[in-house]
Amino acid sequence: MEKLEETQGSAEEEFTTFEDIFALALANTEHFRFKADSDKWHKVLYEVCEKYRDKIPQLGVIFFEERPPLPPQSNEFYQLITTLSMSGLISLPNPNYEYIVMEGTQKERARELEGKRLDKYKDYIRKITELLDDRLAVEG
Amino acid sequence: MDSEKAFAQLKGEVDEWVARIMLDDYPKTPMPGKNETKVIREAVTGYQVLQPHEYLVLDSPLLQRLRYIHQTALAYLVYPTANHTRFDHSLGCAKIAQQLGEKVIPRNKKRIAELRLAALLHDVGHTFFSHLSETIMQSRFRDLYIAVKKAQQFKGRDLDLAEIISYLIVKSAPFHAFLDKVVHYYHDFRKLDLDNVAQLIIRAPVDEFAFMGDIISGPFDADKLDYLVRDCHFCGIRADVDVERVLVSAALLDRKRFPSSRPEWSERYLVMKSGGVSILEQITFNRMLLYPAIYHHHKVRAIECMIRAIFETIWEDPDRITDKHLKFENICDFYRLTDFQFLAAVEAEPQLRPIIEKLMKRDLFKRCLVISLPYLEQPGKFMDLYKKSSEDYPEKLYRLRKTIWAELPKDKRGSLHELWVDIPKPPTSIAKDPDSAWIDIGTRKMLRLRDFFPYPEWVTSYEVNKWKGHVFSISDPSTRRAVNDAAKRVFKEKPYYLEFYERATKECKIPS
Repeated sequence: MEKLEETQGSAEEEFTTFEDIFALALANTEHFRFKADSDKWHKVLYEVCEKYRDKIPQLGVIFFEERPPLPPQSNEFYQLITTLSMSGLISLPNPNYEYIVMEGTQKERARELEGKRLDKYKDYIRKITELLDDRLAVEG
Repeated sequence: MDSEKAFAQLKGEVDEWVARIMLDDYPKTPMPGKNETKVIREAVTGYQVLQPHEYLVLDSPLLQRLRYIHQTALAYLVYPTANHTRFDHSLGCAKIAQQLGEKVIPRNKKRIAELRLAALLHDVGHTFFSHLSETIMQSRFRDLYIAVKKAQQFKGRDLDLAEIISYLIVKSAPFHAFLDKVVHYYHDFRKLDLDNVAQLIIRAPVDEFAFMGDIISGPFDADKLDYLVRDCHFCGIRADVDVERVLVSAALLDRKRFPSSRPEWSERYLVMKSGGVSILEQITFNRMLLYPAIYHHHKVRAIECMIRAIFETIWEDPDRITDKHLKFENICDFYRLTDFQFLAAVEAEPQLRPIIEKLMKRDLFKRCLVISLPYLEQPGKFMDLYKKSSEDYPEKLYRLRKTIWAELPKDKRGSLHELWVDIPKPPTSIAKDPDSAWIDIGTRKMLRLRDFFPYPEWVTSYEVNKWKGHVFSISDPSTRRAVNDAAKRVFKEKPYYLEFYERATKECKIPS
């Protein structure tokens, strides 16, 4: 069999998206539960993009609609939650959807999935992790 | 790529194209008198009266081409009556925009006329096969598109390419001059703000009438209220939206009612009274249902892959294409053609004829494997596949297709253009709208639709469970079986490690 990695060369290492950045940043937090409130997420996403867009090119595809008094809203936020849910890396427990959950095993999977391919951004990802811990994490 | 340079480049392309398509002698003189209105009837929104300046716009070559651009691309090969066009939709949109305007600003004829014009023009930036060609352009010219989105003119907006082109067309010198001429000829309409019409298309209207942007493009806008009903009607799907109820419950809310309001807030907001919450639910749910029923229907997606195969063949070796317009070297090359012109031009090219003949005979690509989370025994590194959407990153799926192709027995290896991995992009705006739809419950606090029910998360859960990607190939059963085997073997290996339940194959109904 012609191995995929042979035909793809280093494409797998090269093709990381903003979803990978946030998957790893979430996995590196100390917490397992995060507020599901989309306003709070949008604020964090906006802040992350403002601070690190020049450093992390994957954030360059995130755009925002500004409609005060709403925080700037981004289609990519919904894409992020769908992608992480679809990948089994987070759960949206019913019925109230108060929290987004990333359990220990999911965190391990996310770290394994992202591996070393995001190593060059590790300092920035650490800062995003701190932001997620500070703004969105829920104790317990 | 510098965003202002990118903007100037695209603007230049659009200006040139508009200058070519707008006829010098249009509109012919003498112009119709101001009382020479016309009545038009279309199947979904019924009768409407067109003012002379409106039908002069509608009769212009730029709008007339929308008659030949199907609203749902080639979905008529699946739903035989899905023959509705962007032209019909623009008319319907104008009527609903007018009705919403008459509901919330009944005395302001000028603003209502601007709403009608913006609605008539909001889709003028579409070209053949509507959103299908739009996504092909967006990925082919991604650097340019992303750079243009970042231009100062579009700050604070997240626009699709067709919206950007619509705006650039309306702002282009030749079209603006034409609009200016027809509007100024009629005394009652000479005060129309044509810049505001263009700004409405990109959801950035000027001044204290910012809420007008929501009528053209918002959580319950004229666009959505028309296309939802129209797509259901012409596809024969028994789902509907009670537009009349929206019109009853839509209202304007003054920010002064809210003690916490700040200067950056708009003066007034388009809101739904609490009695209209259920109609917004209907909109949300129906939009969601239309994805598996139409937009992500496996046959519709297979047809889209066949069109993508045509573009792949063209761009693989453009020198073999004789029609220079079919090389699609820049964005405005797409605007030279409408649906049938594209099909005819492609049919005339020997390189492309085999695919188009299959399409015309409705010998469509068929499913070989269903890719969906509930169909996976081992989800492996599904995310690495899922994020490579066919719309955004077709080139990332190319190597995967090539690997599956290489895994086929030699006698089953046809053209790579006949083997596709289709990963539809999730419809994120369905989750977004409940987050931004204002509900008036008569208190001093603004609520949103999401405060009544966790719609965004609910929509996400629906998407997680209902989303389907596919591996497609030509219809020959033995090829499909071979592709199924090869795809499963490839997905099982590095880097995806996916293992499929039997139903992922069974659902494809491959004849034994």
